[in-house]
Amino acid sequence: MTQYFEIEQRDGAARIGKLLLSPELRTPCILSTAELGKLESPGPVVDAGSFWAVKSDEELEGHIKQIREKAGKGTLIILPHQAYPPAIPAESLGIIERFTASSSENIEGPTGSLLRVGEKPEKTDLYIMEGAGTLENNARRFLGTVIELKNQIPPDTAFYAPNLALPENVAMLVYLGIDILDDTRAEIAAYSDIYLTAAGNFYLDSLTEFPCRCRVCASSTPEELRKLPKTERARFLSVHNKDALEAELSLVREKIRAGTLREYIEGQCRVRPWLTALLRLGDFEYSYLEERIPAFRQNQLLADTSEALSRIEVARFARRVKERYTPPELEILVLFPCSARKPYSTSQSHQKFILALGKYRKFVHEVVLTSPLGIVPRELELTYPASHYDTAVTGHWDEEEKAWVSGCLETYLSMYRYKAVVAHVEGAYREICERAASKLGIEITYTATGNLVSAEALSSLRNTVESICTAENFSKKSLNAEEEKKNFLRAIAEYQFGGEAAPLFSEEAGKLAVKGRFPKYQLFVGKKQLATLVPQYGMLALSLEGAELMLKSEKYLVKIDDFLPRGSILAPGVIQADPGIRPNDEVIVLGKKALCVGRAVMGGEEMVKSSRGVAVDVRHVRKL
Amino acid sequence: MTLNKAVMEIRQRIKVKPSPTDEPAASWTGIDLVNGTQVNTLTVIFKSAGCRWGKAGGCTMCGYVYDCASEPPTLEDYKAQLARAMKKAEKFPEFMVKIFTSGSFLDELEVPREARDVILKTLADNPRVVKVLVETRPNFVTEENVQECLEILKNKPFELAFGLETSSDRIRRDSINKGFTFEDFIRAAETSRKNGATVKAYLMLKPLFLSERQALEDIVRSIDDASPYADTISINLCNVQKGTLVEALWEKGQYRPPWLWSIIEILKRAKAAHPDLPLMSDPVGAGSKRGPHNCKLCSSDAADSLRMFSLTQNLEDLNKTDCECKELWKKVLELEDFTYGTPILD
Repeated sequence: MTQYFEIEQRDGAARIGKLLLSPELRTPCILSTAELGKLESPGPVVDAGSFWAVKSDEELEGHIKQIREKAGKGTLIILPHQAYPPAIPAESLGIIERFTASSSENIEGPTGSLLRVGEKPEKTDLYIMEGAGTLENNARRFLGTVIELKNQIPPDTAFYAPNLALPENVAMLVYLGIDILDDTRAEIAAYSDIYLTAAGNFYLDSLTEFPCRCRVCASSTPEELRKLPKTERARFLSVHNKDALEAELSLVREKIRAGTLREYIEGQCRVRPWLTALLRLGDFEYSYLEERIPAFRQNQLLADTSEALSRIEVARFARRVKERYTPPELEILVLFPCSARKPYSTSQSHQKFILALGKYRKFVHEVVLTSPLGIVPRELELTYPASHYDTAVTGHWDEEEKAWVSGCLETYLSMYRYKAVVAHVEGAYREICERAASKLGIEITYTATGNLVSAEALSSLRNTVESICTAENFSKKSLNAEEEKKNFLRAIAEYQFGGEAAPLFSEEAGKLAVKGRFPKYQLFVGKKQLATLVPQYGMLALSLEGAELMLKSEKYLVKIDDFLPRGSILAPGVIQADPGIRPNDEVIVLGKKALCVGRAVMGGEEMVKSSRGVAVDVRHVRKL
Repeated sequence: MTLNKAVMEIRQRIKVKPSPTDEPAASWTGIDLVNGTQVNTLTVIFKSAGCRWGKAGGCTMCGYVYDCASEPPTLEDYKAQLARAMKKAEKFPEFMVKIFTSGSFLDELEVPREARDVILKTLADNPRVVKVLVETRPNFVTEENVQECLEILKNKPFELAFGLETSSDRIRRDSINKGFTFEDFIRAAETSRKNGATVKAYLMLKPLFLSERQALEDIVRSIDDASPYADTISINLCNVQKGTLVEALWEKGQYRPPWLWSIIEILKRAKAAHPDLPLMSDPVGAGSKRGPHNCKLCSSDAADSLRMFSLTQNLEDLNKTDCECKELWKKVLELEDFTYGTPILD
């Protein structure tokens, strides 16, 4: 818990914050390693010293006192430490001597401490990942260590990975939740005649031109630089290397602000295998990132790499369709391919499909096949990220995509049995359907070969559905217009809240009605509005009446202290929160004095463990 | 805290290979500085029953424990080991003998008393042997055994060498796992001197976990601290020996042997502060990845200058090498204190 670090913006595990020091440090940031040693004229962060330098506790305490006298509380003091590399396991160290100040006044103000796997963290403002640099190129160990350590420390403390940052890896390091880095590697590279870029490292000897136009690179050429004496050469490279690091970090911060860091690292990580491995492992590990990934984003999701298939937003959508969504009770399933235009139903092709189904549409349930999302039931076509992704379309599907989508379809079809399954698809989509059908031993009727919007294909679709609907044994289960709208909202509510959304649709309190034109639906019970569909991201915003109905489940509930909120709720006011809450989730807030609805700014866990920052943006408040 | 567990695990993985017990583990000749003059030396590494401290885990950098005999050598074996080694000094008109056991020559459970006495007696009886040095851990030094040794040696110059490594008890304990204290060393040194032996202290540059600067300052400070108790100080440069914790870390990129610039800097500073104290350093393995090194271009020159200085004690010898990589070393000194468990690799 810290008064000296504040997180302002999140993008998954990455975050933009500030260290409230003098000067204030915008994070993620690069520390000047050399400045950590300046006890005489302390900057924002200073190291009080190592026990390996054989200083007594008194001497080290003297350093701290001296720093505080010179710089006050504007300097964060890294407390005396005795660092070990990670190959020395905690158990063979036993109890390491720790710095204990004889009087606590001396260490008032911001501090930093070393953090080691297997040891209980001290209370501090900044945690240093011990031996971070030794784990370069060891993606599994690095990620495991980051996650283990991050789970041990309060979310609103800064996390520093020393001796690791290079322009090529800062994006990934920040993506994984590291707030602070340093320029050690950039400096050492400079003194080793190595020229750094976000696209990798170059030996000065091998460069013909500088792939950079920073102030020093623009003023010289590699050939000229090679002629300079060592010290001048190193100084030149040092300026460039540190600029390259800072420039990359600025870009990363902008990507966080734009919510597009993931798209950036999906490309940039190819520079080094261990960075690509980190991208994949982060997705496989799932929960660490999933807890931090927002329920929706304002921006488009670009799915242009094979890793997009395992991206948390994509995996979460597929999981929720599988675990939370239930289809309406209809007996005919029609499968469609996706369309470039979103939501699908507004595309030309889907408009034609819908027209072709005509009066039989009320008998069918529509599901769209798509990469990377897998399957999108028609009711969820507005819901993030179904309406928000774009992908490189080549007509060619790779094996992974086919396996993923057919796997999703297979799971769906094994959970829900239809009397008839019709697929109005061609090419790879058909292959996908065939795979799922043959695995499950079910029959799928295909209504087209080639052009799906040809008159022939469309009439085949209509005729096929018509003949099923007019068959003697057909149950005639259907959804009328009103039921269809209710089903639409119910599906979204389930996706969003899970089974806990049921009370919204129970009709106990009165007759349900859906008002408004698609997609601006509003759910009413009698005259009371319960929820509104927000078309931009396809999720429901609750009214206070809707919240009341859902209260009992305690899901998506934030319990607050005894106060009446205005505007937003800060983390220290949160007593309890559903750990299932993700940033941007619709949440219900309850305290002794108030019932509110609003949007989560941070995840549920973080709300509880943080002592700073906005937890919930409140939309409606009712005094209790 | 103790690193012994980590060291022990490595020790258990490596077996001592059976080898003849009538041959020394190693022996070689060289030149040493004795009372200001250069003297031929014969170094003998005896195969003994093995260092008891090392067998129970021991020091984090020491791979010599595997040099011990697979079976405890007999008295005849010890005689044969010495005889074989002495052949290498056949042509020397006079020479000094340096005895190491990869453990403690004065530990009677490691080297039986009879063997000790026979070895010393042989050397005493050889008129060409002008000085004898033996290495031991300080806790095996007693008034009695120093006197006994001197008696057998018929008061030939006798030097006791101790692997003090550092004057810092914290580093000796938390990094080296040496198992004795600076006080133990002082007691043994004083006992040795009181009874007529001289004292040589071995220091160790850059044990595990220390930054280049911390390691450098540690040795400068240790020379200051040890100088009142030692007649000679020799600085070993940590190298990566097989079957050690140092090796385990080095393989993972978690240890870098010292820079040769560091020892050059140490000797310059220490010699200025202690002009009359013989200071030496034999850069074993210099220039290799496992040994102390600068860059590929200058390591062998730097090592030569160290060897030269060890014989001449002339600071000019240390100024002969220069190289661009010295700038990188300076940067390492500046930054490595703040890398928190990650050495700077180059």
